[in-house]
Amino acid sequence: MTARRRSSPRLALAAWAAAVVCTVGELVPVREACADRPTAGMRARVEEAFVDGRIELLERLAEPGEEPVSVEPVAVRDLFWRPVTGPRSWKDPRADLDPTSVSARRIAWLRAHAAARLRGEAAVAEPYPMPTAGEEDPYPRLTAWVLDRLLRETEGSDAIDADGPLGALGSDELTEYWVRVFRRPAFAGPGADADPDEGTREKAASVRAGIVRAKTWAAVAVGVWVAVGGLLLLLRGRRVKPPPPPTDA
Amino acid sequence: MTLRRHVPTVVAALTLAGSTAAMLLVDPTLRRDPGQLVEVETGYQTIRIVEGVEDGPTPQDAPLRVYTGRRPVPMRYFRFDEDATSYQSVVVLEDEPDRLTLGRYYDHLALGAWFSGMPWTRAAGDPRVLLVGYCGGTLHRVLGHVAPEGRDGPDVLGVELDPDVVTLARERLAPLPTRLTLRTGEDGRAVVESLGADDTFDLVYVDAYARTQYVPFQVASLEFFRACVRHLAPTGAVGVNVNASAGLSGRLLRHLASTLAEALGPEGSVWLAPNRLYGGSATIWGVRSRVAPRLGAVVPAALSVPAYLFDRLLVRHVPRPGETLTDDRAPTERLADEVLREPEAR
Repeated sequence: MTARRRSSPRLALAAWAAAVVCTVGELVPVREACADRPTAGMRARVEEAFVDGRIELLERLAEPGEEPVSVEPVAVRDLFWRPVTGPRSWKDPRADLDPTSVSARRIAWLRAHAAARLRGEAAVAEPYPMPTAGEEDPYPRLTAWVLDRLLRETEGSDAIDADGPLGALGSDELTEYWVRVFRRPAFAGPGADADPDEGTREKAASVRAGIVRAKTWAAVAVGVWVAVGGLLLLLRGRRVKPPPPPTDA
Repeated sequence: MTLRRHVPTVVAALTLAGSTAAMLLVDPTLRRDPGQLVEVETGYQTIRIVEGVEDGPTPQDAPLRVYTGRRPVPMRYFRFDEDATSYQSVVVLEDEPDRLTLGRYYDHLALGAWFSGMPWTRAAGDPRVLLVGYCGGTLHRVLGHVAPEGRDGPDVLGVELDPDVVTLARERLAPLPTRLTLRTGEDGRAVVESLGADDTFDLVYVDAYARTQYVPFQVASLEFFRACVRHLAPTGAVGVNVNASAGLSGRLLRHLASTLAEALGPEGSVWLAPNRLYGGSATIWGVRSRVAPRLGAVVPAALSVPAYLFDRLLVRHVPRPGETLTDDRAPTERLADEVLREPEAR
């Protein structure tokens, strides 16, 4: 017991030192990992606010900083989605920070697009910048909405049968909800918003069959009348005129 | 003998009395909807004011969630002849003016006043508006409500063919807004063609229907839209309310849009905005520029849901050959019937 008591402070000190060394050793990678997590969360929240239609919240939710990636969501909003004509609430990204990143290229594209709009030009020639090989898209959902709008505004009514760039997102629950509940029924008509049950399908099929049947009978009736008319005309043409009545002269 | 001599007189008197009693006692209304307040037979049609309760959307914190809650909302409708569930004007009888018309097409048309370049997106001024098919002034009321603070509200020239419609609306629907010049008893086409050359409008709305679902041909033709475009301000927009139960591929919508596109010429463009909140209606927007109309950065909160849908559903109209309607060939009634039949045959 005594020996144990005497050795206890030394053991505690050693344990404390070991813990400090381990913690310091672990701290750097942990910090790096944590630094990523809040950023990813922030970006997801920004995108969710955009899809929800709460674009006034973007500044508050976006990650702070002067890098292009921090500025991209508000630049999309103020230069493209709802163009701001007066002073903007955000600063331009610093030119020395990630100048070739996808976000920097997008901000340059958005500026060109806004300027073209002011000149009355429908679109800029270059496509919306996408990540290069190995580069990650920081805002894939936001990008899909921009591409969807560009498609609607350029290709227009000829290109709305498919779900387009929003459909390509696939696993995103909010966007999938938008496509199913809003986009498809809006473009295809109110009947397209629900998957019809068996009874409705049967009724629609019988209506279609009825239309086809009615058209067939109408064609047959017209054909019969034409045939009868033609026959009568033929018979009339073949009729032999009776000889003139005999006269005394 | 004497009695028999009086029989014809008695029969005639009884017939007259019976007819008079029938006229006075029997309900003379042609239709009687639940909640009907009044019916008036006019020189053009039969018009009715009807009250009812409908299942309206509950305000949500985000436009995408607009369908997540509903509650009963008392309403007053202005209905014409065959209107059973449809209406030509509407008033929400709740003391929440921000709800406008619960997302109906009037709210969507009002967005036009907030397009970039319109007076309300600039430092001063109000839009000048021509409204063909004024009816009970619902669109005018909505525009007045979404005007920015400190402005006088829209300056509206309203055209309504049937004078009794406006009289009944004033008496039984709701008071008409101020800053209104009304031309009643005149056809929309005749009014547009009679405007002075320098009479220009920021917004030209066409919301004229006859017998519930038929767009009168004379306000659907190339000649009519050309007359509208002549009076359109450089940054102005033409907005047309159309029944579109077949979606954006419906032939009535496509023909009207293509006709407006031709009237605007190659320097203009036409855009389609389906109203998902009230399926079966869409707005056609025509502008003098090839650039898509964009809402300004600041749109009133009352219009947040229509604005959300506008941003995300607006589509450029691509005309196809043979879709232009002209004064000598504008089968709007046949096209309207096709629109109604198409969803049934789907």
